Amino acid sequence: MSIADLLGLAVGFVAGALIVGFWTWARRTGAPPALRPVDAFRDLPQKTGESVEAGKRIHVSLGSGVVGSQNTAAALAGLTVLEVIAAAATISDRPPIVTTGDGASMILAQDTLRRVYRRQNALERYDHLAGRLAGPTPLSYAAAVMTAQKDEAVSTNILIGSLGNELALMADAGWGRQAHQIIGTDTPQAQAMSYVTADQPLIGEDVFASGAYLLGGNPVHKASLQTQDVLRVVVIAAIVIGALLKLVSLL
Amino acid sequence: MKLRLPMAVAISMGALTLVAYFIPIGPLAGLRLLLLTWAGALAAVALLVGIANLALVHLRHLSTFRGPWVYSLALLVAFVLMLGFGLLSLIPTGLQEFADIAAFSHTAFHFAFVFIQIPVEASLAALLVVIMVVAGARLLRARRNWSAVAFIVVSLILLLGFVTINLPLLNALPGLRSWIMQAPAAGAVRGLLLGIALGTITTGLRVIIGADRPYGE
Repeated sequence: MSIADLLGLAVGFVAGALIVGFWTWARRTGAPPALRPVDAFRDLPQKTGESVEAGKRIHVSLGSGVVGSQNTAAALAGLTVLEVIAAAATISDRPPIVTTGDGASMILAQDTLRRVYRRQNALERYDHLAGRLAGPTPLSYAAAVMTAQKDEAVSTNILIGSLGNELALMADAGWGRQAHQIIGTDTPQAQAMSYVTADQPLIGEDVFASGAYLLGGNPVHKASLQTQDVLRVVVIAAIVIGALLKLVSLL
Repeated sequence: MKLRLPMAVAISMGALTLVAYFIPIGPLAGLRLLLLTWAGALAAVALLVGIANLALVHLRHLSTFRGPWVYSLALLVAFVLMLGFGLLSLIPTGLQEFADIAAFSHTAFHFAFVFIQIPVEASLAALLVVIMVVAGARLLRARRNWSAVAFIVVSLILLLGFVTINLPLLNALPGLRSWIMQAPAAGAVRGLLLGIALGTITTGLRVIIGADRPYGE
């Protein structure tokens, strides 16, 4: 076992302890931290409401990343957004559709939708084909989503998950339909594309903050954001100290 | 109770896999490998379920003549053909009477991938360039702020920096392009990657400590 392994394990334990610590603190004091505004999350409930009222459909894409790989976290962030949207849109004549490029995330999406419908005593309205695998490769997935947006009269396009360059194709199809687009991904290249193509892009790790903003200020999600901030400060300090040590030839 | 068992299994397996990743010794390493093998097998089954779901979606389109049902028909025909070719190509080579069918199926399967799937996907990928140029041009109309202007200016500098014609006006651009790529762009990408990594760590830990439960209520 190397020092790097030990360090990795220590970071995992410390981060886990910090999440539990901040979570417990927020529950005891009842004062979770205030968050900076993120336009996409601020406007999402309103856009969902507008789509429901207009009888239009919301499309949620969880991307083509495979659950169980390094893309899992982004797909989980997408599922959080889906839960919030589905809860608000179950009464719509056109309930939301979810597309993925992976079998496991499709099953998770169907389970999330089913859970929301059951919670709202509307299980008879649940359509098991609302959560679907659109294509098993990134580009076939993008091609399928491009046509699905037209067929399903999509007015709001929420692409939150593991998406690569193919997101530009999907976003362009959405732009052609004048759909409102919120895009968040876990790759820097795709984030650059989302900046150009989305109405409201989620840059950096904002994509992972969906739970803290959308789930009624969920304390554990806020605790994980606080943990991220602590870790970020540690990383910045390590970079600065490392650069200074290198500068004076001590490293 | 209904949720506690899956929760306990998920938390313990997640924690074990994480610990075994950093301490790959003895039974821990073997257990991690076993869990990952199971996960791989489950993911493969999930993909099969997903493919069945894809076929069902298009069967529904076809049965109701909804939307461009012709595309759904094309997809289903291709699906059945490829599934058939794929399965027939698996016939063992020892069975002489089916050897021709197996060889034809293998060729057809290969042909469809190399001469249909790959060129179509490559064409779609090529469209990305055009889409990005158009999206860049639209950006200033959609978002009139300093960051949009910076995005356009930097894009132009990078593109012009690749020009090989020797023009006095453009001589400084390759150096500028190289500096942008190596200093601000590389720094920004590393910053984004670090942020994404931190987000991934905390999201994973939320699942491991049982605070996030994507597998149920």
